[in-house]
Amino acid sequence: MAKPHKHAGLRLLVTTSLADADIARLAKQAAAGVTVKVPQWSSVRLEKAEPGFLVFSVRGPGGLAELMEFALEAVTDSGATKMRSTITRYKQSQSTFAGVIPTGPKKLSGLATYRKWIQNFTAALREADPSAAIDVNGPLTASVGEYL
Amino acid sequence: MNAAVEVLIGAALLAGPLYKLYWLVNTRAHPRVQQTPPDVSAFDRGQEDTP
Repeated sequence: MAKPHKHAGLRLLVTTSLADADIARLAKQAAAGVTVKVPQWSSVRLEKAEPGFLVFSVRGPGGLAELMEFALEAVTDSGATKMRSTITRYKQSQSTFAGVIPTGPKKLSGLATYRKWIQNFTAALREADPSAAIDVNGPLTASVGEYL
Repeated sequence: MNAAVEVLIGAALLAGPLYKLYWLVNTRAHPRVQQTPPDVSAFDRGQEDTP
């Protein structure tokens, strides 16, 4: 099995008292905020919604390629809602010579967009619930650590 | 002999772009066009997880 990318484990942990409906609305708004519509260079799309579980996909230009899939899961613990977002599937790309020979480091496709979604979502959560505990286990600067 | 070499070089040069095309078309889990976007209100767990 291939070695996972260094940043494949980037996750967001949140403990909040917000209602599920608000969380879902903020998560979807954060996804809409990441999307670059004209031209459609990158987008985050909601793929699945189940009780306490949302699945988003990060898509490339024109929505053709699906670069990454991440999930947001919520559980109730001691009266508060604990959420966790994790990357569930991703693609890596690598520059090549003559289209065949790999020449550069591997790049985690869609990482910058996922980071932007985390930034938007955490900013919205902080605004809606200033007492929310938010933990991100990696850098959110778009240019840091994209390559392995 | 020369023709065979040209074919080999051509195949090598085409392999990358063809694989990229295959990668784009076949390795996605969700269709490009979403017929019905999921209803975000389904995220609401109601009372099922409340202690």
